[in-house]
Amino acid sequence: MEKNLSPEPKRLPHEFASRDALIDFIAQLDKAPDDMAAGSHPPDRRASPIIGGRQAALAALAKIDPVAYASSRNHLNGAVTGLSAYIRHGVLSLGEVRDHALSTVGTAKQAEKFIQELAWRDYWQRLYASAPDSIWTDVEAYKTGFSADDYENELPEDIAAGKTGVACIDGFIGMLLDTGYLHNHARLYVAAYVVHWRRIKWQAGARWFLQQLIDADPASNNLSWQWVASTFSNKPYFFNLDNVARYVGPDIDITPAANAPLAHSYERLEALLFPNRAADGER
Amino acid sequence: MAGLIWIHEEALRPSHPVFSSAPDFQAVFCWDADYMRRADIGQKRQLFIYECLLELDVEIYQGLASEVLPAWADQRAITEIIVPDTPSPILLAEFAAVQSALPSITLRRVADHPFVTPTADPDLGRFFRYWNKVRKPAMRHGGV
Repeated sequence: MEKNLSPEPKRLPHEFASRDALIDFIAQLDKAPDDMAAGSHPPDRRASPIIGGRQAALAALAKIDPVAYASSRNHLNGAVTGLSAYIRHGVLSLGEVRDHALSTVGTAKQAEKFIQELAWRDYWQRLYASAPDSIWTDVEAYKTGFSADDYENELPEDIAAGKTGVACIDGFIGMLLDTGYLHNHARLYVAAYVVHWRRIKWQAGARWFLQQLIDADPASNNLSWQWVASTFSNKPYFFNLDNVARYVGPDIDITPAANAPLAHSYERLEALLFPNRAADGER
Repeated sequence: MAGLIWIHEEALRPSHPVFSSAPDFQAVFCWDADYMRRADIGQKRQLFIYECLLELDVEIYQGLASEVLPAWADQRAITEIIVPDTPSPILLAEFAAVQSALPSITLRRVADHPFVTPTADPDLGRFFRYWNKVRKPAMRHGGV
Protein backbone atom coordinates (compact mmCIF):
# COMPACT_ATOMS: atom_id res chain seq x y z
CA MET A 1 0.00 0.00 0.00
CA GLU A 2 1.29 3.46 -0.87
CA LYS A 3 2.34 5.57 2.10
CA ASN A 4 0.46 8.85 2.58
CA LEU A 5 3.04 11.62 2.62
CA SER A 6 2.49 14.63 4.87
CA PRO A 7 1.70 17.82 2.96
CA GLU A 8 4.73 20.04 2.29
CA PRO A 9 4.86 22.76 4.98
CA LYS A 10 4.36 26.39 3.95
CA ARG A 11 7.60 28.01 2.86
CA LEU A 12 8.15 31.67 3.80
CA PRO A 13 9.75 34.18 1.41
CA HIS A 14 13.35 35.40 1.21
CA GLU A 15 12.58 38.49 -0.85
CA PHE A 16 10.95 41.69 0.43
CA ALA A 17 10.60 45.02 -1.30
CA SER A 18 11.77 46.94 1.76
CA ARG A 19 12.39 46.65 5.50
CA ASP A 20 8.90 48.08 6.06
CA ALA A 21 7.44 45.24 4.00
CA LEU A 22 9.30 42.72 6.15
CA ILE A 23 8.06 44.46 9.32
CA ASP A 24 4.46 44.18 8.09
CA PHE A 25 4.99 40.53 7.15
CA ILE A 26 6.34 39.69 10.62
CA ALA A 27 3.49 41.54 12.31
CA GLN A 28 1.07 39.34 10.35
CA LEU A 29 2.94 36.16 11.31
CA ASP A 30 2.98 37.24 14.95
CA LYS A 31 -0.78 37.79 15.21
CA ALA A 32 -2.47 35.45 17.65
CA PRO A 33 -5.66 33.80 16.30
CA ASP A 34 -7.76 35.98 18.64
CA ASP A 35 -6.18 39.10 17.22
CA MET A 36 -7.01 37.94 13.70
CA ALA A 37 -10.68 37.62 14.58
CA ALA A 38 -11.06 40.81 16.54
CA GLY A 39 -8.50 42.93 14.72
CA SER A 40 -7.74 44.22 18.19
CA HIS A 41 -4.07 45.18 18.57
CA PRO A 42 -2.57 47.35 15.86
CA PRO A 43 0.86 45.99 14.88
CA ASP A 44 3.83 47.50 16.67
CA ARG A 45 5.77 48.98 13.75
CA ARG A 46 8.67 50.27 15.85
CA ALA A 47 11.83 48.58 14.59
CA SER A 48 15.33 48.45 16.00
CA PRO A 49 17.99 50.49 14.18
CA ILE A 50 20.23 47.42 14.63
CA ILE A 51 19.98 45.45 11.40
CA GLY A 52 20.13 41.67 11.49
CA GLY A 53 22.58 39.65 9.43
CA ARG A 54 26.22 38.67 9.17
CA GLN A 55 27.19 41.62 6.94
CA ALA A 56 25.91 44.16 9.46
CA ALA A 57 27.56 42.17 12.26
CA LEU A 58 30.96 42.24 10.56
CA ALA A 59 30.60 45.96 9.86
CA ALA A 60 29.90 46.57 13.56
CA LEU A 61 32.80 44.32 14.56
CA ALA A 62 35.18 46.28 12.33
CA LYS A 63 34.37 49.46 14.28
CA ILE A 64 35.08 48.26 17.82
CA ASP A 65 37.66 50.10 19.90
CA PRO A 66 38.53 48.01 22.99
CA VAL A 67 40.65 50.79 24.52
CA ALA A 68 37.90 53.43 24.28
CA TYR A 69 35.42 50.81 25.43
CA ALA A 70 37.34 50.19 28.63
CA SER A 71 37.37 53.87 29.59
CA SER A 72 33.88 54.93 28.55
CA ARG A 73 31.60 51.88 28.51
CA ASN A 74 29.61 52.93 31.60
CA HIS A 75 28.51 56.17 29.92
CA LEU A 76 25.35 56.04 27.84
CA ASN A 77 27.17 57.76 24.98
CA GLY A 78 30.38 55.78 25.53
CA ALA A 79 32.17 53.56 23.03
CA VAL A 80 29.94 50.53 23.43
CA THR A 81 30.06 48.13 20.51
CA GLY A 82 26.44 47.26 19.70
CA LEU A 83 27.51 43.65 19.15
CA SER A 84 25.27 42.09 21.81
CA ALA A 85 22.39 41.07 19.52
CA TYR A 86 24.81 39.46 17.05
CA ILE A 87 26.56 37.52 19.80
CA ARG A 88 23.27 36.52 21.42
CA HIS A 89 22.01 34.99 18.18
CA GLY A 90 25.27 33.38 17.14
CA VAL A 91 25.78 35.74 14.20
CA LEU A 92 29.22 36.36 15.69
CA SER A 93 31.03 33.86 17.89
CA LEU A 94 32.64 35.00 21.13
CA GLY A 95 35.95 33.64 19.92
CA GLU A 96 36.02 35.62 16.69
CA VAL A 97 35.07 38.82 18.52
CA ARG A 98 37.86 38.20 21.05
CA ASP A 99 40.40 37.47 18.32
CA HIS A 100 39.44 40.61 16.40
CA ALA A 101 39.68 42.72 19.59
CA LEU A 102 43.20 41.39 20.26
CA SER A 103 44.21 42.22 16.69
CA THR A 104 43.30 45.89 17.18
CA VAL A 105 45.46 46.59 20.25
CA GLY A 106 49.19 46.90 20.87
CA THR A 107 49.19 44.71 23.98
CA ALA A 108 46.63 42.12 25.06
CA LYS A 109 46.21 43.97 28.36
CA GLN A 110 44.56 46.86 26.49
CA ALA A 111 41.73 44.53 25.42
CA GLU A 112 41.31 42.81 28.79
CA LYS A 113 38.26 44.76 30.01
CA PHE A 114 36.52 44.15 26.69
CA ILE A 115 37.37 40.43 26.73
CA GLN A 116 36.23 40.20 30.33
CA GLU A 117 32.81 41.42 29.20
CA LEU A 118 32.76 38.66 26.57
CA ALA A 119 33.61 36.24 29.36
CA TRP A 120 30.49 37.38 31.22
CA ARG A 121 28.44 36.00 28.33
CA ASP A 122 30.33 32.69 28.47
CA TYR A 123 29.86 32.60 32.25
CA TRP A 124 26.09 33.13 32.01
CA GLN A 125 25.82 30.41 29.37
CA ARG A 126 27.75 27.93 31.52
CA LEU A 127 25.48 28.69 34.47
CA TYR A 128 22.45 28.24 32.22
CA ALA A 129 23.69 24.87 30.95
CA SER A 130 24.48 23.67 34.47
CA ALA A 131 21.03 24.53 35.87
CA PRO A 132 18.64 25.48 33.06
CA ASP A 133 15.54 25.84 35.22
CA SER A 134 17.22 27.97 37.88
CA ILE A 135 17.13 31.14 35.83
CA TRP A 136 13.47 31.76 36.71
CA THR A 137 13.84 31.02 40.43
CA ASP A 138 15.67 32.95 43.15
CA VAL A 139 19.24 31.64 43.30
CA GLU A 140 19.45 32.97 46.88
CA ALA A 141 17.09 34.83 49.22
CA TYR A 142 16.60 38.60 48.82
CA LYS A 143 18.98 40.60 51.00
CA THR A 144 16.73 43.64 51.13
CA GLY A 145 14.99 43.02 54.44
CA PHE A 146 11.98 41.73 52.50
CA SER A 147 10.96 38.22 51.50
CA ALA A 148 9.97 37.25 47.97
CA ASP A 149 6.30 37.37 49.04
CA ASP A 150 6.62 41.09 49.70
CA TYR A 151 7.15 41.76 45.97
CA GLU A 152 4.31 42.09 43.43
CA ASN A 153 4.03 39.48 40.68
CA GLU A 154 2.91 41.68 37.79
CA LEU A 155 4.60 44.56 36.02
CA PRO A 156 2.38 47.66 36.36
CA GLU A 157 1.05 49.28 33.20
CA ASP A 158 2.78 52.60 33.85
CA ILE A 159 6.18 50.90 33.82
CA ALA A 160 5.42 48.87 30.67
CA ALA A 161 4.33 52.09 28.93
CA GLY A 162 7.21 54.26 30.21
CA LYS A 163 4.84 56.55 32.10
CA THR A 164 6.08 56.20 35.67
CA GLY A 165 6.40 59.95 36.22
CA VAL A 166 10.13 59.57 36.99
CA ALA A 167 11.64 61.40 34.03
CA CYS A 168 14.93 59.57 33.54
CA ILE A 169 13.33 56.15 34.01
CA ASP A 170 10.66 57.05 31.46
CA GLY A 171 13.40 58.24 29.12
CA PHE A 172 15.21 54.90 29.38
CA ILE A 173 12.01 52.90 28.91
CA GLY A 174 11.19 55.05 25.86
CA MET A 175 14.56 54.09 24.34
CA LEU A 176 13.85 50.44 25.06
CA LEU A 177 10.38 50.51 23.49
CA ASP A 178 11.51 52.50 20.45
CA THR A 179 14.71 50.64 19.60
CA GLY A 180 14.72 47.23 21.30
CA TYR A 181 18.06 48.20 22.81
CA LEU A 182 19.20 49.84 26.03
CA HIS A 183 22.67 50.63 27.29
CA ASN A 184 23.68 48.22 30.06
CA HIS A 185 23.91 50.95 32.70
CA ALA A 186 20.38 52.10 31.89
CA ARG A 187 19.21 48.48 32.16
CA LEU A 188 20.56 48.42 35.71
CA TYR A 189 18.82 51.70 36.56
CA VAL A 190 15.46 50.49 35.23
CA ALA A 191 15.80 47.08 36.90
CA ALA A 192 16.67 48.65 40.26
CA TYR A 193 13.74 51.07 39.95
CA VAL A 194 11.32 48.20 39.18
CA VAL A 195 12.52 45.89 41.96
CA HIS A 196 13.50 48.29 44.75
CA TRP A 197 11.45 51.47 44.27
CA ARG A 198 8.28 49.69 43.08
CA ARG A 199 8.86 46.37 44.88
CA ILE A 200 8.02 44.18 41.87
CA LYS A 201 9.42 40.64 41.58
CA TRP A 202 12.49 40.59 39.35
CA GLN A 203 10.86 37.87 37.23
CA ALA A 204 8.19 40.29 35.97
CA GLY A 205 10.82 42.79 34.88
CA ALA A 206 13.07 40.13 33.39
CA ARG A 207 10.27 38.75 31.20
CA TRP A 208 9.39 42.25 30.01
CA PHE A 209 13.04 42.91 29.04
CA LEU A 210 13.21 39.56 27.23
CA GLN A 211 10.19 40.53 25.17
CA GLN A 212 11.48 44.02 24.34
CA LEU A 213 15.24 43.68 23.87
CA ILE A 214 16.57 42.28 20.62
CA ASP A 215 19.70 40.98 22.39
CA ALA A 216 18.10 39.54 25.52
CA ASP A 217 19.36 36.14 26.50
CA PRO A 218 17.43 34.35 29.26
CA ALA A 219 20.59 33.59 31.23
CA SER A 220 22.35 36.97 30.97
CA ASN A 221 19.12 38.88 31.38
CA ASN A 222 17.57 36.97 34.27
CA LEU A 223 20.76 36.53 36.26
CA SER A 224 21.54 40.24 35.84
CA TRP A 225 18.07 41.05 37.20
CA GLN A 226 18.84 38.68 40.08
CA TRP A 227 22.12 40.53 40.65
CA VAL A 228 20.19 43.81 40.95
CA ALA A 229 17.52 42.23 43.16
CA SER A 230 20.18 40.68 45.47
CA THR A 231 19.03 37.10 44.86
CA PHE A 232 22.32 36.49 43.02
CA SER A 233 24.59 38.96 44.81
CA ASN A 234 25.52 39.96 48.32
CA LYS A 235 23.48 43.18 48.43
CA PRO A 236 20.83 44.97 46.38
CA TYR A 237 21.98 47.28 43.60
CA PHE A 238 20.51 50.77 43.77
CA PHE A 239 21.52 54.21 42.60
CA ASN A 240 20.63 57.87 43.01
CA LEU A 241 20.07 60.79 40.68
CA ASP A 242 23.65 62.07 41.13
CA ASN A 243 24.88 58.76 39.74
CA VAL A 244 22.54 58.96 36.75
CA ALA A 245 23.72 62.51 36.06
CA ARG A 246 27.33 61.30 35.80
CA TYR A 247 26.61 58.79 33.06
CA VAL A 248 23.79 60.00 30.82
CA GLY A 249 23.77 62.47 27.95
CA PRO A 250 21.68 65.60 27.42
CA ASP A 251 18.69 63.70 26.01
CA ILE A 252 17.75 62.39 29.47
CA ASP A 253 15.95 64.72 31.90
CA ILE A 254 17.88 64.64 35.19
CA THR A 255 16.28 67.59 36.94
CA PRO A 256 15.53 66.76 40.61
CA ALA A 257 11.95 68.00 40.36
CA ALA A 258 11.21 65.50 37.57
CA ASN A 259 12.99 62.63 39.36
CA ALA A 260 12.00 63.15 42.98
CA PRO A 261 12.09 59.48 44.12
CA LEU A 262 15.75 59.26 43.04
CA ALA A 263 16.94 62.65 44.29
CA HIS A 264 18.37 61.58 47.65
CA SER A 265 21.65 60.61 49.23
CA TYR A 266 22.50 56.91 49.33
CA GLU A 267 21.99 56.90 53.09
CA ARG A 268 18.50 58.35 52.74
CA LEU A 269 17.62 55.95 49.92
CA GLU A 270 18.88 52.98 51.92
CA ALA A 271 16.50 53.95 54.73
CA LEU A 272 13.60 54.59 52.34
CA LEU A 273 13.99 51.50 50.17
CA PHE A 274 15.14 48.95 52.73
CA PRO A 275 13.66 50.01 56.07
CA ASN A 276 13.88 46.49 57.49
CA ARG A 277 17.48 45.99 56.57
CA ALA A 278 19.98 46.50 59.37
CA ALA A 279 22.33 49.38 58.66
CA ASP A 280 25.52 47.61 57.73
CA GLY A 281 27.66 50.39 56.41
CA GLU A 282 27.53 49.19 52.81
CA ARG A 283 27.94 51.79 50.11
CA MET B 1 22.98 9.38 3.83
CA ALA B 2 20.39 12.13 3.56
CA GLY B 3 19.61 14.61 6.27
CA LEU B 4 18.87 18.20 7.13
CA ILE B 5 20.34 20.94 9.28
CA TRP B 6 17.75 22.38 11.64
CA ILE B 7 18.74 25.96 12.38
CA HIS B 8 17.30 27.88 15.31
CA GLU B 9 17.65 31.44 16.60
CA GLU B 10 20.91 30.85 18.50
CA ALA B 11 23.14 29.95 15.54
CA LEU B 12 22.53 32.45 12.73
CA ARG B 13 25.90 32.49 10.95
CA PRO B 14 27.24 30.39 8.09
CA SER B 15 30.48 29.62 9.98
CA HIS B 16 28.68 27.83 12.83
CA PRO B 17 30.11 24.28 13.03
CA VAL B 18 26.66 22.85 12.33
CA PHE B 19 27.00 23.92 8.69
CA SER B 20 30.49 22.49 8.16
CA SER B 21 29.48 19.21 9.85
CA ALA B 22 27.19 18.38 6.92
CA PRO B 23 27.83 20.74 3.98
CA ASP B 24 25.54 18.80 1.64
CA PHE B 25 22.47 18.98 3.88
CA GLN B 26 19.77 21.58 3.32
CA ALA B 27 19.29 23.96 6.26
CA VAL B 28 15.75 24.60 7.51
CA PHE B 29 14.36 27.15 9.98
CA CYS B 30 10.89 26.67 11.52
CA TRP B 31 9.04 29.93 12.22
CA ASP B 32 6.20 29.57 14.68
CA ALA B 33 4.36 32.48 16.34
CA ASP B 34 3.36 30.38 19.34
CA TYR B 35 6.98 29.34 19.89
CA MET B 36 8.05 33.00 19.65
CA ARG B 37 5.57 33.89 22.38
CA ARG B 38 6.69 31.02 24.62
CA ALA B 39 10.33 32.05 24.15
CA ASP B 40 9.49 35.74 24.86
CA ILE B 41 10.77 36.80 21.43
CA GLY B 42 8.99 40.06 20.61
CA GLN B 43 8.42 41.56 17.17
CA LYS B 44 11.58 43.69 17.11
CA ARG B 45 13.69 40.60 17.78
CA GLN B 46 11.68 38.61 15.24
CA LEU B 47 12.63 41.23 12.64
CA PHE B 48 16.29 40.91 13.61
CA ILE B 49 16.14 37.11 13.34
CA TYR B 50 14.38 37.20 9.98
CA GLU B 51 16.97 39.66 8.64
CA CYS B 52 19.69 37.23 9.72
CA LEU B 53 17.91 34.36 7.95
CA LEU B 54 17.69 36.36 4.71
CA GLU B 55 21.49 36.19 4.43
CA LEU B 56 21.72 32.46 5.13
CA ASP B 57 21.22 29.58 2.73
CA VAL B 58 18.26 28.32 4.71
CA GLU B 59 14.66 27.48 3.83
CA ILE B 60 12.16 29.08 6.20
CA TYR B 61 8.93 27.19 6.91
CA GLN B 62 5.94 28.28 8.93
CA GLY B 63 5.04 26.06 11.86
CA LEU B 64 6.44 24.24 14.85
CA ALA B 65 9.57 22.16 14.25
CA SER B 66 7.80 19.08 15.54
CA GLU B 67 5.24 19.49 12.71
CA VAL B 68 7.37 20.96 9.92
CA LEU B 69 10.36 18.65 10.16
CA PRO B 70 8.39 15.35 10.05
CA ALA B 71 6.54 16.63 6.98
CA TRP B 72 9.81 17.74 5.38
CA ALA B 73 11.43 14.40 6.28
CA ASP B 74 8.46 12.50 4.85
CA GLN B 75 9.00 14.09 1.46
CA ARG B 76 12.72 13.37 1.33
CA ALA B 77 13.41 10.15 3.26
CA ILE B 78 16.12 11.54 5.53
CA THR B 79 17.89 9.62 8.25
CA GLU B 80 19.60 12.37 10.24
CA ILE B 81 18.86 15.84 11.61
CA ILE B 82 21.74 18.01 12.80
CA VAL B 83 20.99 20.92 15.12
CA PRO B 84 23.08 23.55 16.96
CA ASP B 85 23.28 22.68 20.65
CA THR B 86 21.77 25.01 23.25
CA PRO B 87 21.22 25.30 27.00
CA SER B 88 17.68 26.67 26.45
CA PRO B 89 15.01 24.43 28.04
CA ILE B 90 12.43 25.69 25.52
CA LEU B 91 14.59 24.66 22.57
CA LEU B 92 15.59 21.40 24.24
CA ALA B 93 11.87 20.61 24.60
CA GLU B 94 11.51 21.24 20.85
CA PHE B 95 14.41 18.86 20.22
CA ALA B 96 12.62 16.22 22.30
CA ALA B 97 9.33 16.82 20.44
CA VAL B 98 11.05 16.39 17.06
CA GLN B 99 12.82 13.25 18.20
CA SER B 100 9.54 11.88 19.50
CA ALA B 101 7.82 12.62 16.17
CA LEU B 102 10.70 11.03 14.22
CA PRO B 103 11.88 8.11 16.40
CA SER B 104 13.84 6.41 13.62
CA ILE B 105 15.90 9.50 12.78
CA THR B 106 19.15 10.44 14.52
CA LEU B 107 19.05 13.92 16.04
CA ARG B 108 22.63 15.09 16.47
CA ARG B 109 23.51 18.21 18.48
CA VAL B 110 26.56 20.22 17.37
CA ALA B 111 28.21 22.58 19.86
CA ASP B 112 29.58 25.98 18.85
CA HIS B 113 33.34 26.62 19.07
CA PRO B 114 34.09 27.17 22.79
CA PHE B 115 35.23 30.62 23.98
CA VAL B 116 37.58 28.96 26.46
CA THR B 117 38.37 25.36 27.35
CA PRO B 118 39.23 25.33 31.06
CA THR B 119 41.44 22.51 32.28
CA ALA B 120 38.95 21.82 35.11
CA ASP B 121 35.32 22.78 35.68
CA PRO B 122 35.42 26.39 36.89
CA ASP B 123 33.58 27.50 40.04
CA LEU B 124 30.43 29.27 38.80
CA GLY B 125 29.36 30.58 42.21
CA ARG B 126 30.39 34.13 41.27
CA PHE B 127 31.80 35.59 38.06
CA PHE B 128 35.25 36.47 39.35
CA ARG B 129 35.88 32.96 40.65
CA TYR B 130 35.22 31.78 37.09
CA TRP B 131 37.26 34.62 35.52
CA ASN B 132 40.30 33.89 37.66
CA LYS B 133 40.31 30.34 36.27
CA VAL B 134 39.74 31.19 32.60
CA ARG B 135 41.53 34.53 32.25
CA LYS B 136 44.67 33.16 30.61
CA PRO B 137 42.99 31.09 27.89
CA ALA B 138 40.38 33.85 27.38
CA MET B 139 43.21 36.32 26.71
CA ARG B 140 44.94 33.79 24.45
CA HIS B 141 47.99 33.84 26.75
CA GLY B 142 50.31 31.05 25.79
CA GLY B 143 49.46 31.39 22.12
CA VAL B 144 46.45 29.07 22.24
